[in-house]
Amino acid sequence: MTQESVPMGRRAEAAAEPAAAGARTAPIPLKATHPTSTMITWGAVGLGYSLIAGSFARLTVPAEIATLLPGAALVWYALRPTTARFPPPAPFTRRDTVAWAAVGVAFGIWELYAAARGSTHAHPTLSILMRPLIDPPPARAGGYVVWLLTGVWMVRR
Amino acid sequence: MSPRVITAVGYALIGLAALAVEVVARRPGSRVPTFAQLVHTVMRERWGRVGMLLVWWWLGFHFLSRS
Repeated sequence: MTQESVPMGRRAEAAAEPAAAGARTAPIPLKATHPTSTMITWGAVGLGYSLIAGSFARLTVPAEIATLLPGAALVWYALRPTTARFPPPAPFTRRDTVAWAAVGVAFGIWELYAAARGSTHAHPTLSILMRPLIDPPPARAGGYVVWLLTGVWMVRR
Repeated sequence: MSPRVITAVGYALIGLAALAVEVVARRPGSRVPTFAQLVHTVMRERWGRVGMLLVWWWLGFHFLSRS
């Protein structure tokens, strides 16, 4: 598995630079590793949380709290200056990202068009279109798993 | 073809386009960054990091709590 596909990692061996460890101000970069017991524990916590959160009916206070709490925790963790991250990828120019920008603009236009038409049954936005798929509790729990994994993957970048 | 089907097909085509860009980006020697590299680069900047996290947070709130 590659670094891009695995939301895992741990601090590089501090023993490699024992003398500089105390004077270091930036966090030590992460490196891809096999799952550690800490990762497995957090994974189990996340899975349990997803199962519970997925059981909450949408448009209720528990369902909103279920996304607000881990969201706030991960945003706080991500914005800490001491949070360890993976090393940056190879640089690229803005011109190299034109294809991604085109996809993003197309999606934005399609969403805005559906929203402007009222996001009705005939012209649904993506969330309305996906509602039948993610409405059952098991599917919603799966959605929480994907969402939390995405969040963990992001904060380590 | 109903407007709903046309709308769904539009989303599917956009998804396929994103998949195609990702495939191109993963070819050896490609200058196009992968989606992961794009997100990683944006996340290196403080305001990019804040923005990406807010987008992620809102997606969870919108799709899992409100939709």
